Amino acid sequence: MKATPTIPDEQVNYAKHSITLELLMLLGALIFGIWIVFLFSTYLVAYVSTLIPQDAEHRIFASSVSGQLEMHKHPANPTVQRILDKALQTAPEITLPLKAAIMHAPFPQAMALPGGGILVTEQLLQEAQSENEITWVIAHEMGHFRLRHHLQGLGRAVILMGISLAIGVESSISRIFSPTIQLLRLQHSRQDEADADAYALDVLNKVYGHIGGATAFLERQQSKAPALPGEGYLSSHPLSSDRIAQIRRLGNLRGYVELDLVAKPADLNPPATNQLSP
Amino acid sequence: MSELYTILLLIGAGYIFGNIGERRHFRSLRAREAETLRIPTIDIDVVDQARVVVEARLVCGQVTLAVDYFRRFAGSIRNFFGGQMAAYESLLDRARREAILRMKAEAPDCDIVVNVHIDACPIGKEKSKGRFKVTALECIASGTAIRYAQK
Repeated sequence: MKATPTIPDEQVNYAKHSITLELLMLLGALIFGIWIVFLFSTYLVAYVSTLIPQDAEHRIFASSVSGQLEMHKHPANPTVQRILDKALQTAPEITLPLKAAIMHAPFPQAMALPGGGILVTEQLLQEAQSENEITWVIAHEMGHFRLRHHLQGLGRAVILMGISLAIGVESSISRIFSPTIQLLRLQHSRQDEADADAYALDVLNKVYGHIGGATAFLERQQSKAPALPGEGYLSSHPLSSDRIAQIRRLGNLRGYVELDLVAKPADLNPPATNQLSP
Repeated sequence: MSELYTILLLIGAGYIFGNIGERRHFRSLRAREAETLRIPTIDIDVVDQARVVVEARLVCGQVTLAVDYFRRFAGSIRNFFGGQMAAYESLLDRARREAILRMKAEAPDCDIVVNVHIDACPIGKEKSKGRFKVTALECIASGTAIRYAQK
């Protein structure tokens, strides 16, 4: 027998198709699966949240929210509470007892605490030009309570945490799962904020008969910090420009008008004209 | 998100440098296989009885190849779905061929290498729950190099 040496076909022992294409297809399938899971958890949580009464939400978080509000004692708290109560009179669908307080902070912000607390920073109140603007900010936070965003966020977090634990923290899949979920949550958060803006617009119109002052806060934020390219996709809130455009679009659609603004209460003015610090 | 950017950067670097290294290695393998074509590697029960064996000795070739980040990532995603692990196949092929070439290089004047045994061993670290993270692959080829008397 004579052996005739030859060079074998080089690609006999490994796949001929592109590994890059294969990876892209598998990643696409994985991300699609994660998106489906996220959608399912979102709809499930949205449905379950409608079954939980607002009073139950208050009972669950009552101790933590009262503790947090207690930390923020401010002489102008009753003024902010009065503005909140005036807005609540137009929103009988909110049965959750809401309380407002002023937070000493150098940045203009408002936040809704699970259980019925609304915090508004001193800086926001000082920069506000009218009572209408403050009412809009507070009504926006009311919108989060009305639309059960806290409960839904909590429910989604529990489901997604369970899935993350099942996948494993150190696995390569979790390195795709976590950022993908984060991006989806940011997108969902932006939608929540847009929904709260729409709700606030209706409340503002019911309180004053018009929507003057609705975009003042956002216009000020926009002029202070112009958006960077791509920032909108990585932010929990829509860009100020997008929010302003949406408010104006909704206002036009619903036939709302902008009229004269109500002056801001004197005790919410900056320390130069009034002593704010306790 | 910074972790995502880091992963994407590592995957990109692994893809570029891994592909460059692989192409270079395949070119080298083809060239050296052509040079050593005259030394067959076969399995036999008995040596050629018509020829006088001058020398018969054990020869070994060994190589350790690292997995680039791109292939490791691609392999882990495939691991989730199951199926053909294409990301590691070319690595195995290169490791096997390189080990055989190094084995032949131990006895460049031999006429034949018989009864070659090839062993592959993954190198890496054990993760939790008995999972193993492969970072490199070692391949060892061993056989008997036979040199016949010149006719």
